[in-house]
Amino acid sequence: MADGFYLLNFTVSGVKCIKEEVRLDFYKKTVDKNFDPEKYRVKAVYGENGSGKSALITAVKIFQDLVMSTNYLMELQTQGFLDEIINKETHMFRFACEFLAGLDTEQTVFQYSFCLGKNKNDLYEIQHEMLKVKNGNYANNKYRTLFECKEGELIYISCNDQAKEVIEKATMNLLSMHPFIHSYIINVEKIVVPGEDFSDQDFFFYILLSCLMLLFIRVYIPTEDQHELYFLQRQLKEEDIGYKELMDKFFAHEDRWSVYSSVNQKYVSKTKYEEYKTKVDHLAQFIKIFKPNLVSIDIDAKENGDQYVCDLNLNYGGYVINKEFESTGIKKLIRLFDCFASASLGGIVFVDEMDANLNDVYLCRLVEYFMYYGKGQLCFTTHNLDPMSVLKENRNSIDFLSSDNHLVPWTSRGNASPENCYKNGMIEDSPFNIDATDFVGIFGE
Amino acid sequence: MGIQMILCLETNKRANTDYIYIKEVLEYLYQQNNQIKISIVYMNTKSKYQCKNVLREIERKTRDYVHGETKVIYCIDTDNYEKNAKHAAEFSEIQQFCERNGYDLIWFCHDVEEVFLGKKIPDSSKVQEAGAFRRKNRIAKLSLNELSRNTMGACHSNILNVLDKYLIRK
Repeated sequence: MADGFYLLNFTVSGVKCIKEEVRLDFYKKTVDKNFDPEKYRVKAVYGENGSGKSALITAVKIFQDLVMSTNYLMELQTQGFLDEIINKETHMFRFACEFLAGLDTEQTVFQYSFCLGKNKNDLYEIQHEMLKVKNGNYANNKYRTLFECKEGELIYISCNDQAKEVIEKATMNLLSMHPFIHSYIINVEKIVVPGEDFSDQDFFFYILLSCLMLLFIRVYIPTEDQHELYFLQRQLKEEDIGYKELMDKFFAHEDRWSVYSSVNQKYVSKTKYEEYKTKVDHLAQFIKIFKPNLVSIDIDAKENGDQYVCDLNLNYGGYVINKEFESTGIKKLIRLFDCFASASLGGIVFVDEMDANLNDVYLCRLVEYFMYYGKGQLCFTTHNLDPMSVLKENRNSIDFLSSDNHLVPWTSRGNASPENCYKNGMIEDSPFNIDATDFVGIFGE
Repeated sequence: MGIQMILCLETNKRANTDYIYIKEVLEYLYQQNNQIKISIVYMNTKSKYQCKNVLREIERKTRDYVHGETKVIYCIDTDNYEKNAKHAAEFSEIQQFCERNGYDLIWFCHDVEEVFLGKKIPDSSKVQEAGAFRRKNRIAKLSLNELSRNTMGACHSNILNVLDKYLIRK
């Protein structure tokens, strides 16, 4: 595995209709020295309407926003959103994931988990948060806890007393509304004193790796505005927090940083404009595959202080069409471009309803691209059965989510195809007992 | 462990009113969950109860359902068995065929409309009447005794006796 991150699995409960735990596995159970994610890069989640596919993607988005946004739980808008999105029976959202960080020949497996529940003021807060680490995923490898927070208190941290005191002070009264990881990075200058001898030097390194992993995640939810993920970018890239070598390793190519920059952003800082222009050129090349008569994508940039307000126009030679007036399918491709670029370069990408407005043939070719040439991970929800014929070549690549939130991975059955088994209701817990006659009499005829 | 019920109907996809009444019974009286799979085999006419296509379809659906057991249930109108020897013989043959193969037989005397609507319906009105039956929730007014008979008679059926073996009432 090249230097980078691989999400091994995640488990969620208490989001939208998902009440009990649902676990998505991206790789096999054991991670050893021969770890090879090539055949485990793409996963499609299928399920009937209302089964909770979008809830899974939303859960990842909450995880990312919680750790990456400065005051996520402090914002009224977030609390309102969580009120609607967290399961209304349990009022408790749990998220846990295992991911692998590969650096040189070293492979480290992390387990991060948190739980959101309501406090006495009826606001969602972090009730539990924990990070563990181990080398490899063999049966005899045991996790070692790096830190654990419970109800706003740091109850365990894997470092010496002196460091613990500094960290406790820096994160005091923060941990019910801010994840420890976030608070740690925010206060890193106060915590990591140059020349100070920590008993567990790995601690800072591991926290840093966990943060970096989050930078590799990109989530696309069709109806929601994309959140910009600038905070950690600034913190990790632009400020000197040490470990320059590590940063350079993960982001050896400048492109890697752009896994979270976007051609869809409206405001572009003047310092980032050249990078933005390059991305738009790449976008034009991408759209030309589907619209060969496209000449270029022109940026309409208006100066506004230290940034530009940018709009994109698709130039077809004789005429120009503003991005907003393009066909629904092309607009969708433009919006997805950032995700695709990220998955291609090593990002971990989640796309909800990837098939919506996309031609079946295009969809299958894109899925094939990520299976054969992508360097990252792509997990998407869809109703389109066509990609199954491609995906079945890989492993852990097709999951079925039933209406009772039971996740059934596809396992090959001789010559049976997943698409036929699924549409004929032969997948466990997805019987599809629906018939044309069910609609007779319904429309008042 | 799931259960698949393969319902073999003497209709075709375009005139599948039998299944409307059966589905109404299933949804009104029995607990629904993802462990129950209902599959349909269309015979087009009852005389094709053991034709190759029908048997192949049963075999295929049985093979494809790997996460539970499969029960095959023939759903047959008795027609005018009391007065018409041909009808009586045909029904008897189907009964014997089901017994030989371990299949269940749901019968509707004399046909499905007579059981659920209490009268015969011309072919041209069958879909409309079935739609009205569903829309007006007439299943709620039906006598369950008439659907739990062991012996044949006008407006009788054994449908609940068979379904009770595999499904749980609400």
